[in-house]
Amino acid sequence: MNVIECRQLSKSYLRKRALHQLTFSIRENTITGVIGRNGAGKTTLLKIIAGFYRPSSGEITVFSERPFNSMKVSQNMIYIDDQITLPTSLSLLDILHMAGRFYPNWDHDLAARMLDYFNLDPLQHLHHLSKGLRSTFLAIVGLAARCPLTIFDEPTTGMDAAIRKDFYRALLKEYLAHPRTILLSSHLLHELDDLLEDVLLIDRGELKLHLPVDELKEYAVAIIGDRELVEWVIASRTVYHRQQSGISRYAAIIRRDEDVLEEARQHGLEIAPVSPEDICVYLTNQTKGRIDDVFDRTES
Amino acid sequence: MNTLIGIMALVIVLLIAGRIINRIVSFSGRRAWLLIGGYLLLLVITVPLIYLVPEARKDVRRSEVVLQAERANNAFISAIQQGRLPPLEHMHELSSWSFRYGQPELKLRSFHWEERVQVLVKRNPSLGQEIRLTWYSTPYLLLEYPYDFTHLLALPEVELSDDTLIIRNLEMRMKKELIHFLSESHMHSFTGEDRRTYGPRVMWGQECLYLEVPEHLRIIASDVMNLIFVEE
Amino acid sequence: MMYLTEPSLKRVIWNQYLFKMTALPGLFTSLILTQLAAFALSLDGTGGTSIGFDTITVRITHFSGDLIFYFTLMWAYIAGIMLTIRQYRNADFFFVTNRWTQHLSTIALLLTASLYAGIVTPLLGNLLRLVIYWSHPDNVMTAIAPRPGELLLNLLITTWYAALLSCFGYLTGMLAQLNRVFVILIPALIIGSVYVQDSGGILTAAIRFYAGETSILLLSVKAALTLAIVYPFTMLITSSLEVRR
Repeated sequence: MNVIECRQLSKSYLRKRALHQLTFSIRENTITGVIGRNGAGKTTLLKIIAGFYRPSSGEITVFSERPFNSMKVSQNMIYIDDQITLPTSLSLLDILHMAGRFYPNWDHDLAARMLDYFNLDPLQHLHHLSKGLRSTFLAIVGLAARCPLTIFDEPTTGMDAAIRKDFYRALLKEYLAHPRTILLSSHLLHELDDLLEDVLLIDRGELKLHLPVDELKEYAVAIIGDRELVEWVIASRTVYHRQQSGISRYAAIIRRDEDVLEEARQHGLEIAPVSPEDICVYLTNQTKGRIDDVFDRTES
Repeated sequence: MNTLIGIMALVIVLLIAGRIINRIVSFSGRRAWLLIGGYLLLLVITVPLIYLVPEARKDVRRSEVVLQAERANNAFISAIQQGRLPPLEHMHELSSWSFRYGQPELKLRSFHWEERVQVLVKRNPSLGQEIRLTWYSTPYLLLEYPYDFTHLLALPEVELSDDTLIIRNLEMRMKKELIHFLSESHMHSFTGEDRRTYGPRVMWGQECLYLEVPEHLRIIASDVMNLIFVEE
Repeated sequence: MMYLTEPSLKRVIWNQYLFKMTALPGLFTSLILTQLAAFALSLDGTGGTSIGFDTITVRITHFSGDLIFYFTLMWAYIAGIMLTIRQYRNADFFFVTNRWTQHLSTIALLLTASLYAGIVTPLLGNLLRLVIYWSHPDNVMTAIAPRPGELLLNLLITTWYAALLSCFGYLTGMLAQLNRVFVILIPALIIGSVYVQDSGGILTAAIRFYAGETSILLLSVKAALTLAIVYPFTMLITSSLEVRR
């Protein structure tokens, strides 16, 4: 069953086209990573799903309803990002109590224990916390609410590596114990490899790919060796990226193609896997050359 | 000037109060609610208090008081015109003095005498060697409320020195601050009060000094005092 | 498999209302502060005249709860505006709401605050009288205590006015959220219509519509109708507002 169905979804503002003709669906009880560069449109998409923004055109349904102004969606969804501000007179404990009133699946014990684990004082106020602790707290709320649709938009902002690890572990444990549909946006894909089931890649408002992580790992390969030979082997295949990292070490990254691989092996070329993070970077590459070129040019 | 200082002090106090309240509120919503509830409670307590306070004055029927005062004034004026003693029942007796005096002649001296005060002299055969003075006044009224403020008048010192009766009035006979409670303007259409008529209109009382002297006493008064000899 | 919860509108409105009441005590404490300021300013008298005549001078000082009342109305208007700012409205969406429940719970909050204001304002006027009486027991000329019927009437009228003002404030704030233009336009309109003081002045006519009413029943009806029209209007024109930072 599809929790989210999206057809030709577009969103534009006065000057900018934020999303363009997105079509995809999200299945129930999956963890999907929404990946993309800054400004790619991840937040816009997630907020439309959450019912905060209205689409400019196209269709979107969440739980078979249009999310904007939908009480059903609001009730069964929680959206966590780093911009959330709550009235300053509420303590952390107050917020937990309040969440318990709104969300029927709320697990107060879990929330309290996690607060304790991360050394958060329940009587403190949200605006007194550092950025990392704030993100931690909000993430705890997101998990403890056990909403059928849980959206985390860059939830680890400000968290140090150790806490991030803990968060991912907690997320996984919770997901396994109480399955739900989770959307997680982050630009740190390499950390999420083991956590995610699916990846939704967005670039400049467009859907680049939507694949299970396993498939993504196999999506591209790097053919490495002598430049001319490499270029000859890959012939006219689409190259996502080229890199010269040594005198005779030239890599070209292409879509996995068994024929090409066979040929490459025959010619003694090296074949290396491409991590999901790397392929996402290459697919969304919009730079003119590489950063090195900027420095090289100025040198001469 | 005073008001300016008052306002500045007020602003400072309020800034401090505001900061204290802010501190209470941002620390705990609970403490703020204590404040909010306490404020309400405090004010609710004032309700019975205000009904227990002894009344400053009775709520008298307005028109009656005014009418009576009008009557008294009219009677006074017509009596003076006719050279008679005005009806004393309608007048406030403010003070009285009496002295033993046996001489044939009496001089009257005054300080800060108001010309509008009549001096009524009556020769009383039953008085042997005595002179009596009484100060009377018809009501002074503030019409809106109506408030009879005759009792606020300061009265003169009267002393007998040799052959002279000295009457010393204060330069300022009445200087009084009165406090009036209005209900709020949005209530006026329901209480019948009307803001616009609140320039206080005063009904001035008529005053006289009533002098009772022995039959054959000769009186010499200063120019300002207007002596009227009454018969009856 | 997570079962979907069907939300109950009433429940959500109630929870949102509770949320706002616990989260925004500043709404009420700001009233207290405003009233304390008005109280202090009223201690000097809210008007007065003197009469003099040669040797007689009487100075009459008026005291009334007018200043407190007008300060309270000012607070109500501003409170209505303050509740429309993005920060507060966005906070609602952290929990469960849609735009209708958000409006309704906020309106409930404003009405609660109006009732609170309606109670404490006349009572503060009473306290003023008490304080003045205690400090000048000999100078008081008129009855101190209002008739009990008057007190209740005052309560009712003040509540209505606070409710009306906060409703207009809410409209103002929401219009400003729709379009920044209104931030300038509305104050300009208000101030402008004060200067255009002829009988065609809209503001004075509007004020007279309520203030000139002598029947409490009619006033209540007028006020209730106004709320029943303006609030839904406000809700309708802002139903497509997005939750933006």
